[in-house]
Amino acid sequence: MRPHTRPLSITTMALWTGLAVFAAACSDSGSSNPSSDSSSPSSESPAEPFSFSVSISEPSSIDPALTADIEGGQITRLLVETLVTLTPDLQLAPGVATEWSLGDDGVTWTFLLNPDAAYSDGRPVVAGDFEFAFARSADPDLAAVPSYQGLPIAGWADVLDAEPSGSIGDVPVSGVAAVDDHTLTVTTDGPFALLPKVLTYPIFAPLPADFVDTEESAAAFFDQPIGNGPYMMAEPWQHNEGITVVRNPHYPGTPGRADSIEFRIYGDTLTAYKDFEADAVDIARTLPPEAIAPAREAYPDTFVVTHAALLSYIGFPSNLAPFDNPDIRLAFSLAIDREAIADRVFEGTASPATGMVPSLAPGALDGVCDACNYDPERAKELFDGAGGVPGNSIVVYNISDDGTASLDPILNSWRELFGIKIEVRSFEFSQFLDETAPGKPIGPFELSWVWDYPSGYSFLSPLFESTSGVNNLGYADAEFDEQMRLAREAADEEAGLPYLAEGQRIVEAAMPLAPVTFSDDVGVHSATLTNVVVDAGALWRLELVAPAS
Amino acid sequence: MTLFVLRRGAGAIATLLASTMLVFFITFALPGDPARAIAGHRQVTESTLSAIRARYGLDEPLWEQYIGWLGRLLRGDLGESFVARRPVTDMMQEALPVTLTLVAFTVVIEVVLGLIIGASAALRRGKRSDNAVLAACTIGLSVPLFVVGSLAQDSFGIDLRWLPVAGIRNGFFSYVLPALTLALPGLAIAVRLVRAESITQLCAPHTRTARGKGISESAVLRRHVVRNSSVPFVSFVGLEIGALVGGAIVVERVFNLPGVGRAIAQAISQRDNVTIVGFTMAIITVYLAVDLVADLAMIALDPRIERMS
Repeated sequence: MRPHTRPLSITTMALWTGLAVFAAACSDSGSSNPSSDSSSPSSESPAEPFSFSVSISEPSSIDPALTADIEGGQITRLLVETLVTLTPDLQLAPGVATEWSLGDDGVTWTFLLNPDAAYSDGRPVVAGDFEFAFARSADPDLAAVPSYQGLPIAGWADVLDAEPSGSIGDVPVSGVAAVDDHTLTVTTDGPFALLPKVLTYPIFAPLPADFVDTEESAAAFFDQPIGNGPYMMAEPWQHNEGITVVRNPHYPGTPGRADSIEFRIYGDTLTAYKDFEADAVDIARTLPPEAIAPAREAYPDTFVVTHAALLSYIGFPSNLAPFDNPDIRLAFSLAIDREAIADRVFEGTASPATGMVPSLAPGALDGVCDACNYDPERAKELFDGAGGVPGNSIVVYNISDDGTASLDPILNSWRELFGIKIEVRSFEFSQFLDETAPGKPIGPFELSWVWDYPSGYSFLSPLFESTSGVNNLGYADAEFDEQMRLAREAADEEAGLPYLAEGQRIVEAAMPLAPVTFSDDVGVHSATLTNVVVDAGALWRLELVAPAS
Repeated sequence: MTLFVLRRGAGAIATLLASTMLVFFITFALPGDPARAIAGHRQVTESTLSAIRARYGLDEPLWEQYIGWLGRLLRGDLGESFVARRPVTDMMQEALPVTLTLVAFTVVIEVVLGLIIGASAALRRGKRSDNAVLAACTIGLSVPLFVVGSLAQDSFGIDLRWLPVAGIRNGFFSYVLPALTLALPGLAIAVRLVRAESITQLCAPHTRTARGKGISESAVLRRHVVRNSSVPFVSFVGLEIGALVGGAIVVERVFNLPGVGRAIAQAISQRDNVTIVGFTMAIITVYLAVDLVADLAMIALDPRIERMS
C-alpha cells in the first residue's frame, strides 16, 4: 500500500469543523478502516503469491463471440487465445497456431495448431472447436454485433444472412475446415492479406460445442466463460461489482505474472480514481478529464498515457453541393484549430489528428495531410475562391449525448472566419446514426471511428471505399478503391502497406472528412506494481504486470 | 379498514398499469432504432440489425410489443436487457437489495435525527441553538448531493481513511457515507417539519387543557404533542421514500453502489428500453406500496382520516 503522506485538504478541515457533531456521532462506527483489508502486493516478495486489482466499467459481455467493447475485450483477451495473437506493439505472434501459411491459390490459409493447447478444464483444443466457434459467432440466432468481422471468410455472409433457425452454431461456415485435429484451413472469398490480423479478434477463439449446447450451459457460460487463455474465471461474474480471474494451469504459453487479477466494476471513472486515491484499487485505467491534472501531479511516476486508435472527425456529404467541391472541404478543415480543441476541450485525453489514420497504425503516413493544419488565411482564400456556400448557411449534425462542447470551437471558427450561419441539428446517438446513414446527411456531421484490427486498412476501407456499407461520406474514387483492392490482394500485410499509404494520400488530398482528434486514454497505477504495459490498441496487458521490488 | 385497503389496493394497481403503459410507450416510441444503439459505431450488417430486432421483438408494432410485455409480466418475466442480454428480473434481484438497504438506512437517519433535532429545536424556540439548526437546514437543502458526496469521499475516505469511498465490499460500512449524503436534504425538511408541528401542538388548546388538568409535562409531550405532530411526519416519510429512490441515482453513481439508480441511469444512456421500463415499474411499485403503508399508519395515528376518506 502506498504510504499515506497527504496533508488534510482545506475542504476536509472545513468539513471537519462544520460537521463536528456528526463526526462525533459517527466516530464509533468508523474508527477502523474497513477499506484497508484490500489485498496489496507491496509487502510480498516476487516469489510469493501476487495479485492486484484494476478498475473497469461493466462490460456488455465477456462471451468472446459477443465482446464488442474495450472493457469486455480487456477480460476476454485474458480468457481466450485465438489462432494468431498480437504482441504489445501489435505485431502478429503465434497463438493456438504455431505456424500459418497462405496457399498457392491465394485464398486458402492453413494453420497448424499447438498440440499442447488446452482449455482451463484440461481438455485439448482441436481444429473442430474452431469450426463450431466460427459457426456460432456468425449465427443470426446469436445476433452478435461483432459478427461482421468474419465477412472476408468464404461462406460467412451466407450464415449471417440466413433466417434464424432457433439453434445457435448449427450452420457451418463453408470456408472453415478441420483437416485433422491439429490442422485448420480458412478460405477467404477473395485474396485478403490481412486475414491473420482479423483472426486475432476474440470472436474467432476456439470453443467446444458442449460448453453452450443447452440453455443452462449457455447461461452459465455467459457469466463464467471457459477458454484457453492465460487466465480463467475464478467464479461467476458479479455483475456491476467485479470479475476475478486466476492463472490457467493448462495454458501452454508464457503464464501470466499475477496469480489472480481482480477487476473492480465502477459506474463512474471519477469514483474509480477516488477509490485509487484511497488505496482500494491498484490500477485506475481511465481517468476523467478533471482528474488528469491532479493525478499527474500526485503520481508522476506511475501516470500512464496511452494512445487509442479512435479518430474523431467531421464528415462532409462530399457528393452534395457545396461539399462536392474539394476546395470547400479543405477550407472547412483548415479552419479547425485541432491543438486548441485537444488542449481545452479534451484536457489531455486527445491529441490533434495528423491524418486520416492514427500514426500508431502500421504504415500510417504522418505529415502528408496539409489540410489537417490550422491555417485560417488559406481557409478563407479557398472558401472565397470556391464562391462560399449557397445562402451563406449550412446545416451541421450533432450527437446530443455530449452536448456541443467538442463541436462549439469548430462551429465558432467557421462562423467567424467564413461569416456563415450554422443550423445545428442535435440527435440522440441512435437517431443520429439514422439521420447520418449513407445518402442522408445534407451537411457536415461529427462522428468517430475505431479500428477493428490494428491496420490502416481498418480505417481506410470502411470509411472511404465506395462499396463500404458504412461510407456515409458519399465519397467514391476509383483510384482509391483500386489501392484498397491491391492492399487486400498483396502477398502479406507488409507488401500491402505501400497501397494503404497511397490510399491515405488520395483521401488526404480530397478530404471527404476533416480529422479532428485521436483519443488518448490516461490511467494511473500503484507504485507497488511494475511493468504496466498498455498496447497501441489501448488494451492493458495485465498478464505482464509484476510486483515492484 | 378492509374496504379502505381494498379500495386503495385497486387504485394502486390501476396507477401501476397506467404508469407502465405511459413509460413503455414514451421509452419505445423515442426516435432512433434501439438495434442501432446496441450496435453503436460498429460496421454491423443489416442482417445482424434485423436479427437483433427479431430477437427482442422490435420489428413488431408498438402495441403488440406492449401486450407481449404485459403477458410476460403476469408470468413474472420482465424481458431480457438489450445490452446485458440478461433477464431484467435477475438484474433487479441484484440491484433492489442495494437500493432498499441504502434507502432504509437513510430513512432511519432522517427519522431518528429529524425527530430529536426537530423536537429539541421546538422546545428551544427562538434561542441561539434553534437558529443554528434552521441555518443548518437551509444549507443541507441547498447543497447538491454530488457535491456533498464528493466532499464526504475526499474527507472521510481519502484524507481520514475512516470509511470506504466506493462499492459494497465492506458491508455495513459501505453504506455509511452514501446514506449520510442521501439523508441530508430529507433530514433538513424533517427537522423543519417536526419543529413547526411541535410548536403548533405545544400551543394548541388541547395541550393547554391537558396541562391545566395537571398532567405531567412528559405525558403531555408524549400523548398530545408527539402523537399529533407525527401525522404529517408519517406522510412526509412515505413521500420521502419515493423521493429517495430518485436521489439514489446520484448517490449510487458517486459511491459506486450497484443499485436501482445506477442501473436506470446506465439503461437510459444505453437506450436499454426493457431495462428502463422494468426498473421504473419497480420504483413505482415501491412508491405505491410505501404510500399505502403510510396511509394505514396515519389512520392508526388519527382514525378521523379514514372516516373523512
